[in-house]
Amino acid sequence: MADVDRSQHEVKKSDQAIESRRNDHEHSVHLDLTSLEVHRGKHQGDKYVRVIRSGALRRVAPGVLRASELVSRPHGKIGHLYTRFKQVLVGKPLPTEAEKVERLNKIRALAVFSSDAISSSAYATEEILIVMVAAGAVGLAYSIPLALAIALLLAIVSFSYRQTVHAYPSGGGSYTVSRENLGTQAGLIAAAALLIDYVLTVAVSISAGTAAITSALPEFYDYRVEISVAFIAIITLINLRGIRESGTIFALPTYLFIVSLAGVIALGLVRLWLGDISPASTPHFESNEFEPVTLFLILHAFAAGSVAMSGTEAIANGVPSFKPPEAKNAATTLTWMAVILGVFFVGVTFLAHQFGIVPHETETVISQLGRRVLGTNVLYGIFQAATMLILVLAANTSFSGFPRLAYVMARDGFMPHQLTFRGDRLAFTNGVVMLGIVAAALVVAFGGSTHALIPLYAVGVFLSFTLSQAGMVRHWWKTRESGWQRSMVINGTGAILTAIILAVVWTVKFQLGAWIVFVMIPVLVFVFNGVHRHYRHVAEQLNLTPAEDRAAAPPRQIVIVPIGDLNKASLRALNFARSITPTPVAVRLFYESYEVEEFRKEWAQWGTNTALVFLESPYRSFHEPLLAYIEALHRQDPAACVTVVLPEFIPAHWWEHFLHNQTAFRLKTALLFRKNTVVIDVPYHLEK
Amino acid sequence: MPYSNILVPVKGLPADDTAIRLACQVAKPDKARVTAINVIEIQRNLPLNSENVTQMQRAETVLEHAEQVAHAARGTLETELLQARTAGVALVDEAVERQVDLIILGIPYRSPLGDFQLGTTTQYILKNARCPVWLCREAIPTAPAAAKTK
Repeated sequence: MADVDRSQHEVKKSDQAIESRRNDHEHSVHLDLTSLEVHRGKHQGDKYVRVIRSGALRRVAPGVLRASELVSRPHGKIGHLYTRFKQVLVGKPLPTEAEKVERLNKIRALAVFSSDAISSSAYATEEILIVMVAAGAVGLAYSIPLALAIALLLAIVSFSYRQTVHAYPSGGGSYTVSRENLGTQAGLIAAAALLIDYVLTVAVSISAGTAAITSALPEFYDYRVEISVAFIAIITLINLRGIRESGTIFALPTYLFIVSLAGVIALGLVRLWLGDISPASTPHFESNEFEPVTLFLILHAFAAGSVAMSGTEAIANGVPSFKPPEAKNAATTLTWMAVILGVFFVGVTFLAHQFGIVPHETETVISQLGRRVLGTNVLYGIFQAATMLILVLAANTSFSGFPRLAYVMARDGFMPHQLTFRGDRLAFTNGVVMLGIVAAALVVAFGGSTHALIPLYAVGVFLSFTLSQAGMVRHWWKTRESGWQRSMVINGTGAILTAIILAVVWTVKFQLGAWIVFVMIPVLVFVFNGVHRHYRHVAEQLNLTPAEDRAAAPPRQIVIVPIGDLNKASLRALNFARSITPTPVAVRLFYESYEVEEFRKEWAQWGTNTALVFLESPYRSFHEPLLAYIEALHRQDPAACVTVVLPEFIPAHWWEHFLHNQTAFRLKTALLFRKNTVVIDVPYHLEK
Repeated sequence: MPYSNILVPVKGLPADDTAIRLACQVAKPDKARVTAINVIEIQRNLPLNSENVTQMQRAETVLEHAEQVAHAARGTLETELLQARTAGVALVDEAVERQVDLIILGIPYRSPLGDFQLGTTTQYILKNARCPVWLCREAIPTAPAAAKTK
C-alpha cells in the first residue's frame, strides 16, 4: 500500500507545473517572491494550486510585500535571550495597524495627560497661602477670591485649548497654534518653553516624590539622587511599553488621588455644615508684624497659585493619542480635567480658609486638611500615600507630552528626525529616552534638590499659554468662523491674563533661578533654527529637479580593484568588477621590488587579461598611495564615477577578525567621504 | 503514538487557535513538523490560478495569526497557501502529498438549521483523509449567542 502511495506521489510530482505569478519581468527570480505550483489530485480532474511564498515576506498585492513578525525573530541563543529580555522590559512588538487599538479612551487619557495638572491641586493652595500669610489674617482672607480668579482663568485657558483641540486635531498645542498664527519664531519660543517645562516637571515631581520617601526614611537621604534617577528610569521604561499600557499602570494612583481628595473635600464640607468641626476663628501666627496687602502681593500670590495650571496644555498636544473621534474625546477629557482641578483647588482653598490652616514648615496644607477632616488614621495614611503617588506620577504627563511635541517638531524639521521614530510598542521611543536622560541629568546636576529646581518650574508654561492664546485670537480673526467674536474675546482675555501672570512670575522668580530658563529659551530656539537650516540645505541638494536629473546620462565608470594576494576572494572581486565594466583596473601595492615579478607570474596564470598597475609604497603606507592614484585617475576624467571594488574575506567566527589586517575596512573608511566615489565590498565568506 | 507531520487547516476562526495549540503540544515531544494550511476557494468561472488580492490578504492575515498563536504556544509552525475549487479536496490531496500522519481540525459549533452541522470541508476530510483526523470542536455557545446563530 505504501509503495502504491509513493508511486502515485512520484507521478503527481512529475506532473507538477510551475509558473510564476508575475512573469512580466525579465528576471530569473520572482521579484515579489511568489510563484504557483499546479498539483494534480488523486481523482481525475482534481487540481489545486500551491502558492509558493517567502517565509518572512508576504505578498499582499501585486508588487507589494509585507514583512511579517518572522523577520524580526531572533537567531541564535544570544539573540533569543536578548529578545526575551527586551520583551520582558518593554513588551512584545506591536504592528503599525495596532496604533488605533493602542490609543487611549477618555478614562485612561485622563490618567495619562492630567496627572500633572490634577496633582497641582495638592500644592497650589499652599503656594497662595505662603505668599498671603505675610499679610496675616487679612492676607489669608484673599485666598478664596484668588482661588476663584485662578479657577476662572483655568476655565478660560481650558476653553481656549478646547477650541485649539478642534481647530488643530493633529496635535502640537501651543507650538502649532503659535507657529501657524504668529509665525515660526513664536512657535519655536512656545515649543522651547514647553520642552523646558516638561523636563522640569519630571525633575521636580520625581525629586518631590523622593523627598517624601527620604522624609519618612532619613537613612536613605544620602541616596536621594540615585533614588530619583531610578524612579526616572522606571517611568521611562513603563512609557517605552506604549502609551496604552502606561495609561493602565498609572490610572490606579491617579484615580486613587481623585477619589480620596474628592472624599476629603466632600466630607470636610459635610462636617463643616453639620458643625462637626468648628472653623478656626483666627489662625496662629508666629509673628505679629505683617506686610500690607498690596497689588504686588496679590499678583504675586495669583502667580504662585497659577502653577495649578501647568500641564493644562498636555491634552492639546496629545490629541492623536485619543481613540476616534479624537478631537471630541480630547475636548471632553480636557473639560473633565479642568472641572476636577477647579473643584479640587477651590475646595481645598475654601476648606483651608475655613479651618484656619496656614502653611507650616513640617506639614503641607493638604496634609493638615486631611488630618483635620479624616483624623490621624488609616484613611489619612491612604490619602497621604495617594498624594505622594500623584506627585511622582505628574512626571508621566511630561512623558506623554514631550515625545509627541518633539515628534511634531521633528516632523517639521526643527528637531532631529530620529525623534519621529516609533519603537516596538508604537511609543516615540527616542523622545521618551531623551526626556529620561535630560531629566536625570538635571536631577544629578541639582543634587536631587526640589528647592533648587522649583524656581525654574512653571515659568515657561505661561509663555506658551500666552503665545497659544494670542495665536488663537489671530486664528479667529483670520477664519471668521461662526461665533468668532465671542471666541476671540475669550482667547484675548486669556492671553492678557496669562501675559500678566507671565510678567509677575518672571519678575518674582528671575533672581531665584528663572534666569536659566530665560537664557535657555533663546539658546533652544537658536538650535531649532540651526537644525531646520541643515534639513533645508539637505532638501535643496537632494530634491529632484525635472530638467537635470531625468535627463542625466549614467556616469562613465573608472573601476579599480585593489589587490593584495591573488586568491579566491580577489578573483571573485575581479569577476564582479568585469560585470560593471569590461575594463577594470587591478592595482597591486608593493613594498619590495621582488614582489613585482612574483605577482606578474601569478597574474599571468589567473589575471584573465585585466589591466594591472603596480604601485610602489617605499614608506610602507597603505591607503595614502592608493588614494593618490585614485585622485590622479579622477583628475583625468572628473565627470567619471570612480568605483572601488574591494575584495574582502569574512572569517567564520567574529573573534577571528582580530587575526587579520582589516585593510578593506581601513580603505572603506578612507574612501567614505571622497566625492564621486562608490565603494563596493565583495565579501568572500570562509567556512571554517 | 508518535507523529512526525501534522497538518492544521485554518480559516481564521477562533477554533483554529485551539487546533494550533494542540498540534504544537502533540508535536513537541517528537519534534514533529506542524503545517497550517489555508485554502482560497476559487469559483468555477475563474481560472484556478486567478488572483484575488482581498482573499490573498485575508489568507496571509489568517496564516500570520496562526504563526503568532504557535509562537505563543512555544511551537514552530510552517504555513502554506493553496488555491482550489474545493478546500476539502485540496487539503486531503495535500496531506497525501506531504505524507501527513495527523490532521487536527478546529471546528466551530454551528447549527444553522437547528441541528449541529459539521460543514462540507470537515465531512470531506473525515471521509477521505487516510491519516487519523482529530477534531477540536469549540464550546457550545451560551444561550443568547446560540439563538443568534439560529
